[in-house]
Amino acid sequence: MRPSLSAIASIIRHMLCDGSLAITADTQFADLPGWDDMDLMRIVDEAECHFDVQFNLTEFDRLATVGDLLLAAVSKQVLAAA
Amino acid sequence: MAFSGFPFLLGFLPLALCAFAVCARRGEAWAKACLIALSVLFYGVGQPACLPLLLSVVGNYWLLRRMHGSPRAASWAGWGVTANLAVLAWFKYLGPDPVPPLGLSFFTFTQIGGLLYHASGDIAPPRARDYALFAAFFPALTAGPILNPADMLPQLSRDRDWRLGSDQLAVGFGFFVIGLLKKTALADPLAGVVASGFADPSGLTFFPAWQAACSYSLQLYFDFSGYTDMAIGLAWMFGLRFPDNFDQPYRAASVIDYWQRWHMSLTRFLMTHVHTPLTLAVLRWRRAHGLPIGNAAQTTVTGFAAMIAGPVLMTMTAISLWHGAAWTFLLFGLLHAVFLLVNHLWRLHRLPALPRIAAIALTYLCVLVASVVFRAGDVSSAGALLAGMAGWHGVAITFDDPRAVLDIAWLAGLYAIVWAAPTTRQVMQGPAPARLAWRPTPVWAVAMGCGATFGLLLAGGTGEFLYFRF
Repeated sequence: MRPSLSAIASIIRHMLCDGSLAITADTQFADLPGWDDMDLMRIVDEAECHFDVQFNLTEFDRLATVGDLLLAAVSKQVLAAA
Repeated sequence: MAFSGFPFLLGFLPLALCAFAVCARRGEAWAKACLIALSVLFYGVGQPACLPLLLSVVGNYWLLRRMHGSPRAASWAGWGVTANLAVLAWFKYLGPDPVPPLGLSFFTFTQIGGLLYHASGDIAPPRARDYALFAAFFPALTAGPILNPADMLPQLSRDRDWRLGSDQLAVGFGFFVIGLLKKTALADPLAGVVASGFADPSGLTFFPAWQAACSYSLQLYFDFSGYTDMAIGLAWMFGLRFPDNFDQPYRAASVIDYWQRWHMSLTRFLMTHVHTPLTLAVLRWRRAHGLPIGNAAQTTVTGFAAMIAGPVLMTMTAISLWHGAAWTFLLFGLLHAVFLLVNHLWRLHRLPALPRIAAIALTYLCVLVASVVFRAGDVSSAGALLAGMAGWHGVAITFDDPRAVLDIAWLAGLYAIVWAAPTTRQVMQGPAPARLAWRPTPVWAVAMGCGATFGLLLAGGTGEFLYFRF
């Protein structure tokens, strides 16, 4: 599956069990209600499975917004295809 | 060489600023060479016998160059991390001297962070002089903060004017003076009560035991955060920005929150390099074996043990070992691991949040208990002091000594600062209440000058910092 904002938003809503979350590319993970660092790891793991990519720790450390995750997933897929 | 000692304040710092002002006029290369030379001088004067340890900077830089573009970069990084940890372990746990070389834990972790940052082999290594400053710049050399390569290396490689500027000197001086006052005016006066209380805790009744514990908790905070403020201020004077290490930790409303505010550079390092990789590995393993990873799975015994408890215990053990080879440090880490796990269970089961004041008080009580264990000479002394705090040695209340009343009033004043005053960062850069917000005005110049004089008068020569022993 190709990474998209709607696909990532869907993953986040599913993992946080909140279908009404308003999510944009600028949404900071830390600003999501009830956020915990563990949530990012579960979301990243789910995204890796959905988009068939794997992030390294340096990339993980740079994920602050939903847009960062989208960009990282797209970059990974492009690199894998090249 | 302590930042609050006369040799640094009256000798090294003026010399460093003058030398840098002259060298930086000749360009970036001279400015950086000057800072490297000053860093070597700083370490050499402090512990000349350990100066060869700085050769680790050369070894690690050689590895970074080897790793770039190599298909075996991760393997090289692994060997480098092992070698760094081996040196650290030798001096901390096996060496003849019980106190490890000054700053070894800090600059070793900074360099391990550098190796892991470049472990993919895709990121070009910095220039040699930039790496030398990243690893051994004197303000962070002895007690941190542990620098993050993603923050520091771009600062060092950026093309900019390195000359001393009045703006950066003024702001850096402000950070430094506030840190100096925290150390000399707030932390150091507590040293006597702490030393006597922890020397013979078996004889302490309820109030003296609480006084010793609370005094240590405050001494540690003002000492370490004062040191960090001074380090941030020094770096600022030379045009570099260090990360914060403290964010009002005693105002934390949970133990998870506390660890995001206390010694933040160490927490970030261990979250990035221990907790996150372990947790991700567990999550990936569970997914590969068809096991759930959702919130519901985390509330089961096996899910909680694998996804939460295991990584937390490993991370807190790493924090214990980082502080040294003592049962008290191990117990300190285990206590915090238990607090964190209770905190996670509370969150996962969506139990109602405590009122904020109660949550802050409960969190601080947990931190206080663990800090007694951290400071005590051995586990039985820690137990004796905690027993005294619980009233098992009696609850005699005597205010015959007027000094005791003054001590209690002093502690109350310090807690008011901890819980109500803005941080140094807020004072210097905002947001802070208007009267406390620093501005480059004559009034603030006089205030900072008076603060510096007062701090210098209180410095008393060669005050050591509590975290120098780590």
